[in-house]
Amino acid sequence: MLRILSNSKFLIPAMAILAIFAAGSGFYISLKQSQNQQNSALGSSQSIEGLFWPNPKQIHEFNTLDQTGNSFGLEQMQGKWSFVFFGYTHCPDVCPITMSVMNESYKQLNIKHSDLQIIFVSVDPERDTTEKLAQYVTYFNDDFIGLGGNTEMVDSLTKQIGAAYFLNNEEQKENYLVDHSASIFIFDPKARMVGKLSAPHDSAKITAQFIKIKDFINAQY
Amino acid sequence: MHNIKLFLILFFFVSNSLFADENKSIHISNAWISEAPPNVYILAAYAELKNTSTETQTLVSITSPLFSMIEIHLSKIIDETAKMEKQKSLIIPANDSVEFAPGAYHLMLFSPETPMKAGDTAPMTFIFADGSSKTIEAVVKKRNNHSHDHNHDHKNNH
Repeated sequence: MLRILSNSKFLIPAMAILAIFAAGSGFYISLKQSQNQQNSALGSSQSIEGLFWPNPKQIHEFNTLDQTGNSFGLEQMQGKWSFVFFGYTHCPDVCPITMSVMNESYKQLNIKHSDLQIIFVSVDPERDTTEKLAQYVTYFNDDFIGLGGNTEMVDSLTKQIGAAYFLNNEEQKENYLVDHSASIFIFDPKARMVGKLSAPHDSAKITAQFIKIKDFINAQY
Repeated sequence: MHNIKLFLILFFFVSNSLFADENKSIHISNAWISEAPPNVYILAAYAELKNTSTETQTLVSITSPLFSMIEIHLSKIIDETAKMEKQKSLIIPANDSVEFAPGAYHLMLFSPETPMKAGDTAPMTFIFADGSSKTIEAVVKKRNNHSHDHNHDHKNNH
């Protein structure tokens, strides 16, 4: 390079190349800046509560049964946005609260966001049969999806998400309680866990947070 | 079936008024039972208990002829995990109140005699440590954001 520059014959074309490169990089910087401005208008990743960015968790194949007895896996998560909540039908307080709050939010969101599905995953496969799950989820909304199966099937999803649960069934054999995640997990159409909404839940807050997260993720494509 | 239910309720009210000492310092308001999805036989009930006396009152048990058992529970979220803790009793301090509300203290109602729908009512007797009791009617309601809002309103009022 130095030798080329010292040779006057090559000086003009070399300077021309440099100028093009400098103009190009300047353009690139200004493009980046405008993108950043756009991002801050939408809310930067730091300012969106519950957003997992830049490291969303990609979900791999899992194997559960839905409330109609059909198999439900990774494929059913793709192409749609999903809310995923873990609970059990014998739970009298936190689960029905969350289900009715998600129903309120779903009714608000469904008008513009028809690509959203609401999924309840039972972490009590012993008591929550397919039939029970169907009656449970449709009580809140006919569109809701209930997932279950056997312990292995349920764990194929809970372990990936990190939604630990604990059955307190040693002392109490029949009416045992289950400790479960209180959060609502948000998945994008690529089946990436892009956010988590923490309890206590409120339908207006869920709706607003979901829209922020969705707009942010869509702006990354 | 309906006659048995009626008899149970009547018997319950008569027996309570004959044998138990009514607690005059506790006022129970907004008692409601959350309607449950079909085939769910564990329900939650909520209410506000106000102690108008200068002495502490301790709630030790709750009974209803329409449920096999009632327990006092506290919902807690610890490290993003939802847990329920059974309470042996609940103290209502002098000139103070305790609220049973969604996501907090609640009554856990086991195995209803018959499925309960919004609009149904169930008598419930709250029994205190001094042997006194208070019987009220709780109404079954559908759970909606309203119940949740109530909780918020209440907190804001304090």
